[in-house]
Amino acid sequence: MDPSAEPKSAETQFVVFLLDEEEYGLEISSIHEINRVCTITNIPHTPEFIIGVVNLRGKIIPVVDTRRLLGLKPTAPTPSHRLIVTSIDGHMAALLVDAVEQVLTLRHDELLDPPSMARNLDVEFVRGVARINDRLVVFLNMEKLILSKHPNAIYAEALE
Amino acid sequence: MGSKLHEYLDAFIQDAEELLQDLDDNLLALEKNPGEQQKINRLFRIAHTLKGNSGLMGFNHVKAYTHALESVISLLRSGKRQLDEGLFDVLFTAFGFLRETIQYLKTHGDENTDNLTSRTRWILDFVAEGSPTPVEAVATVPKPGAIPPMKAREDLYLGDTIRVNVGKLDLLLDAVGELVLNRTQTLELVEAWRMDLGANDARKVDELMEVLQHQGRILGLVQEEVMKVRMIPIQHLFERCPRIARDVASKLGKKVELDWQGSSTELDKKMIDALSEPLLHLINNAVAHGIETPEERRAAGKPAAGLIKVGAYNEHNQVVVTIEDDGQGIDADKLERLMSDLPASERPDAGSITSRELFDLLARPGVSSAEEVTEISGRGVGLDVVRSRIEGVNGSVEMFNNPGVGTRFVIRLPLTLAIIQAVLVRYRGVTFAVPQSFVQEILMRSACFVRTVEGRGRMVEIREEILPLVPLDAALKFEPPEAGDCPYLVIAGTPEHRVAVPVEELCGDREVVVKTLNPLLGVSKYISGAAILGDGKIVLILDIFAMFKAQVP
Repeated sequence: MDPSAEPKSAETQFVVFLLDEEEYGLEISSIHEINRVCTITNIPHTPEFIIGVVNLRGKIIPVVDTRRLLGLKPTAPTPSHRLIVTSIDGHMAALLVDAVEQVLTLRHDELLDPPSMARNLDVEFVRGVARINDRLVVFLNMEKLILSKHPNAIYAEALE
Repeated sequence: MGSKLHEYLDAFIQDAEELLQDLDDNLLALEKNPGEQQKINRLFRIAHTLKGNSGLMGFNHVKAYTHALESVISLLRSGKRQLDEGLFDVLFTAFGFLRETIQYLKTHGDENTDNLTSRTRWILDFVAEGSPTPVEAVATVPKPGAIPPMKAREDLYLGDTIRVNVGKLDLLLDAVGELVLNRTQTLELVEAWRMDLGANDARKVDELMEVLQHQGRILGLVQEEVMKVRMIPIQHLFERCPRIARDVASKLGKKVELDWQGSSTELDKKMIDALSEPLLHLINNAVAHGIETPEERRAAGKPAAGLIKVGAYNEHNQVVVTIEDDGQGIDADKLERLMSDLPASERPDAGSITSRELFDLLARPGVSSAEEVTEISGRGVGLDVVRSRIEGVNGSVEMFNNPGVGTRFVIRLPLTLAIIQAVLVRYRGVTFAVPQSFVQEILMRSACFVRTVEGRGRMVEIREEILPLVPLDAALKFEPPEAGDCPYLVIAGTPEHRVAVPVEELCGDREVVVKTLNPLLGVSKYISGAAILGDGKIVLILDIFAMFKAQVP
């Protein structure tokens, strides 16, 4: 990319992933990489939505079961499951999702304000919604969501 | 020159040398392509930076010189002059003079004022006149590109060193760690392979193994050297101690001397950083609380000046750092006072108090073992910080008290954080790694006698010693706390403080790569990190010293 070109401030790219046939979006700038699911080692006594860790080229990364995080029942892993590696509170974490569907470029005006309750989620965790191909995609503030559900008090403080 | 500037001189010189090289590089490039505005701008910026730096250091003559340099370069920058031969020579010569000046600074620690003054004038004359005036006779200036002659008389101030960003070293160390794992994997694969082969093929595999052995030796060498690169002699820390001791002593009207030993003992930079504050606290405490006033000392038959001994040495996989004073220690009265605010049931028995219990008492926030709280040492918060800092790098600190004679602190630190030898054990289905430096021995439970001691919980009798039995349940949040059948006891700790930890299975010992755990995982504080095994599996590392605190009463 030519560094001297002005970034098109009106457009943002998102990764769209699936949970139970429902589509969610994450801003691509927060994503490090997307991997197939490798061996997840269970760590005893972690918060309920963290199902273990993976060894990613020598780094130990916690795996967040996004289904559990959003109140859905966990499912058995399938070949389409993916790990979206992103940064949460300055540390790397992997989000386990049913499938990764596509990368989407949205103009600023295409991202709409969410209704008060989008898919059972508090508005503060939803950055916006969009209608793509007649389906509703919900764009999440993943970091806020994870930190708010974390049992450790320090995270609740960090959010204030 | 003040001692503050002294520390910065090294940095200033290193910076200056790099910038000088940059100046020469750019000028040489301009010789080939005189029109390149960017390089001309760069020359100006470098001169400007050098001016700023020398100003900060108080080298006013160097500053004036570099200011003159700026003026010359400005001629070029503004287009007032082309880069003809005359200007070229002046710049080359001027840069050469600057190089000499930096050399002078290196060996003498100060500016070569006379030379600088006349050279500055020379440059300014050129700027005014347009052509160079004859330069006063000075030492020949080597053409840039040639190596400047070494000054015969003294060693270079810094020796032969380069500055390396610590981040780069971390990356290197990570990569080496990966290599170690990778090699273990390779060996395991080849071993498994070999078992399936017939005699002929097996021989070929043997050849492969030989090559791999050699690789192992080289890898071992690389690993060692990379870790050594991060090692700094503890002298860095020890050097500051005498002055600190004397400062505190003079404020309190005491006399103290500080000796050190083993200053060439090396530690990983992380350890040095972790040790820095604790060391200060302990010396502070030794002077403030340990060493008596000269009158008290004379009355006790001691020399008027107190002695603090600081030492470091290597032991197995660890570095041991000791801080010892010949002061008053903690006597029975002080002990009483320390315990006075504890309910009777929690008070350790003054007659048989252990070093650890004493440390705990002293480390309580808000406690001070002096009558008044001195403004220097503040409250006993110091000891709590000392312990947590050191345990934060998988180290340990213990205190030995000899009332009337003195106090001794013993700090043990692992040589490195990154790669450790660990003993793998299994407990309630989970595999853990225990740093081998903390494993004293492993015994069969059946060979030991376990009994319950009133007020202290279950204890194990081993030979003539009685050690507390510390199950892992509470520490690792296993519920319910009742453990299963544990045929083994891991005796863990330091030679002075040991506990017995029951485990179900022993899984061998390995070299493992230590990784920190993401705090999101919310693991128990008795887990100090995670280790990646040769086969890629991840196990948790037990923090043995935190375990001491988890004793079930």
